Amino acid sequence: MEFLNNRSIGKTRATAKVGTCLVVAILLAALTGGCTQTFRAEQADLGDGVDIDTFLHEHLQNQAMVTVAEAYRAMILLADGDDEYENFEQRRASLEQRKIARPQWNLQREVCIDRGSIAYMICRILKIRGGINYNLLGGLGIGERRYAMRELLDLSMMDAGSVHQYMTGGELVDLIGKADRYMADRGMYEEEKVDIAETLKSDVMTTTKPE
Amino acid sequence: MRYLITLAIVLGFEIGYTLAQVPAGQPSSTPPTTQPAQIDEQFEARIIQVAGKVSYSKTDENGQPGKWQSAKVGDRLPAGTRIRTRLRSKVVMAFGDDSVVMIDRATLASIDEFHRTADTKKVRLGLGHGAIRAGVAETTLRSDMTIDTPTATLSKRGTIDFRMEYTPVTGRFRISLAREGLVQALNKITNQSSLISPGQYITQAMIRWIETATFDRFVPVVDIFGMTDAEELFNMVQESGLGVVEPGGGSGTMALTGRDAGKLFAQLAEERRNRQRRHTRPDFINGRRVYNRPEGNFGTGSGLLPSLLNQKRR
Repeated sequence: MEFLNNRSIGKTRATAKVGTCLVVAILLAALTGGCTQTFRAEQADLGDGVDIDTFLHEHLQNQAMVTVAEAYRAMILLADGDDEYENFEQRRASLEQRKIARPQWNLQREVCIDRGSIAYMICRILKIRGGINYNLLGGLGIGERRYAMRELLDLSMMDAGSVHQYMTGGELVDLIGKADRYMADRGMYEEEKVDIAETLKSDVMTTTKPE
Repeated sequence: MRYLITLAIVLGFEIGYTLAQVPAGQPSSTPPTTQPAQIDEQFEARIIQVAGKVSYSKTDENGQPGKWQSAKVGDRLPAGTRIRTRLRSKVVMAFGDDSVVMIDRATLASIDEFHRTADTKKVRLGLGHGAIRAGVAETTLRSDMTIDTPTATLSKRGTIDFRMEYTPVTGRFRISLAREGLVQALNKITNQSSLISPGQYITQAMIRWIETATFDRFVPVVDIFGMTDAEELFNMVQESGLGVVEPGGGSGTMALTGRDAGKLFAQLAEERRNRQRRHTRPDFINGRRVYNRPEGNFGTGSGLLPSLLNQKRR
């Protein structure tokens, strides 16, 4: 009987040890593994496959999160006004060459991208000068995404939120639309301004009749 | 007498029956009434300016959306047409001789209605996402233009250069009026309605434009002489020194520098006690004595009055 009792005590101790090890292992994994990433390979493929109009007006509008592939394509559209590249690798090379995206980020194509990274790329495309922290620390790669997002907050392009938060496709289209307007207003590309009142007087009221 | 009444009734029925037999569509012999004839005439919008890459899709006979085709100047777009623009693109359309509409960059919009009913020309546009700008001149024909989104409706009243932008994911919108007239904004979620005058705008918050404008840019306006010590300390921690490095997060950066908020507070309280103790030489504002009160002085404040001698860096 005593032997049995000792045996059961031994079993209990072993179970407790295993349990403790498991808890420690989970804690270690949580501490060392960092945040989990969301992969959306199928979505990234779809985004690469559609034409620009469908990409902007249909594909992105339905996405709850944006992948790196989609974000890079949107940045190319914003920077060049068109997308002449055939695949993700070409777009990444082009963005990194122009120092719009940082190679140190080492972003994978299928991973969902955070707001901070998008904000940084937009700041680079818009050639925003930024403040001391953005230039001093951001230039070293310390908090560059955080300060970029603050710049866009100041310009009323983005809403307040976490840098690490994901962005929906609709928000991305809205953001690049605002950024495009910023570029046009500052003469970063040639655009013919439309004066509604003048157009109404000269082009419409004098020439047009209801058809 | 009874005979005459019966005759009148019979004649009345007879005349009524005869008039009712006039075939529909033929002009009646009865004189015209004061009500105008009901006219319903379909119009088409005309593209007058295209920049960048713009495409549209008309609906076919079955009401199904047709193929997307590139827009060019002179194209005519009937009701039911969808229009989309890329970045660096826009299209300007004339709706008759008194209305002009510009579909802005990265926008998906539609012409839902464009027809004339009686003395009113009705234009109804749908906005999926992006922005629309428009202007409507006053003519003899009453012009009724609305821009519709799932969360808001813009309705104009004799207006030049109004704009509506909408983001579908967040449901946010912004309606503004640049030049003249009056625009009515209706929030479909809250059923609130608001009028916008030239130079004003409204968002989904539907608060008055002047209140919205104050949130556009953060401007710390602190009356340090009208604050209690606690308020002064709070503002010092949040908005001075390293607080400017991280707006709204000054307390963290203050701790990083090794400064102790508790000690600062004690220092402030000490200064205050000393001032009250030596108040044989009172502070004066415009020749009137200031009596410091612990809860703050309602405009005159308990903070130190600025002078060369007592200015301290905190």
